[in-house]
Amino acid sequence: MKPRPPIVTRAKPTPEIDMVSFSDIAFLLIIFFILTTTFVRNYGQDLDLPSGTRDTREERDGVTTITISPDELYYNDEEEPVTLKDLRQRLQAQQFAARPAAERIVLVESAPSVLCENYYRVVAAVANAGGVLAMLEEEREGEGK
Amino acid sequence: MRLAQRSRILPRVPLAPMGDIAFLLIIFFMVTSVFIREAHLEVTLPEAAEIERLRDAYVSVTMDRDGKLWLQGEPCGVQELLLRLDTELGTRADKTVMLKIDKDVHQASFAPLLRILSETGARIAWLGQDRRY
Repeated sequence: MKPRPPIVTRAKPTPEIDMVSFSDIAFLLIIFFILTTTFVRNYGQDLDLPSGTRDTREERDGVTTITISPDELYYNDEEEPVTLKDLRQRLQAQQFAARPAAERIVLVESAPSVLCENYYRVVAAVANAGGVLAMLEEEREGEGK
Repeated sequence: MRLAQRSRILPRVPLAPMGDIAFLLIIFFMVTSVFIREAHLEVTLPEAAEIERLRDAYVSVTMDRDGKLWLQGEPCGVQELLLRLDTELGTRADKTVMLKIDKDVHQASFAPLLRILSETGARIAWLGQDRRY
């Protein structure tokens, strides 16, 4: 009997997936996200608005008052208008930061037609000086105390 | 004498972990990114000289040029604002409301908004632009 020839085992080819293109796509995605992302940083003023309402008709003495008209600014019911620069200096001179909270109140009265930008500049000046903003509003009909 | 030639071993750099790292980075960016809710609103912020860097706040209230009110990027009426703000702020530790008002809105339009915000007891971060830039 003829001897059987030995069985030759072939080396099994291991399946390989090419991962090079995989990482290429991933890095392209990262670059896309980095380039299209915009980082938003918020700038502005932190406001300390007291809640609740109070009748201020008899309590205005000694309280800093700012009146904003569409064109002018008035400080403490003075007849002459002040500039924003003057207002800042006067508010800084009040040294609100050294006072107790109840004495930091700044009443801000505004005409309805005043633009937000003009109002905001006053509010920012008050907040920067350490004042607590209180909006002065006229009592409307039917809103009694 | 002939020298026996050795089969050359090709150098291979394993690139599979690089793809893993790249995808991990993508997942990290996707999870940590916060999308702007008011991207569709056109608001020109007022300018002032006293501008500071503010912390991010979750709750945002916006009043656009037409005086329309938006809470978290969705339209909201003045009447329902107080209730909806209470709901939004209710469970949050940070009671800051990010306020954006267009620079051309009149005081008559935004005064009720400020009054409502003061009633919520929230801290208000009123956004503006630095005038110096």
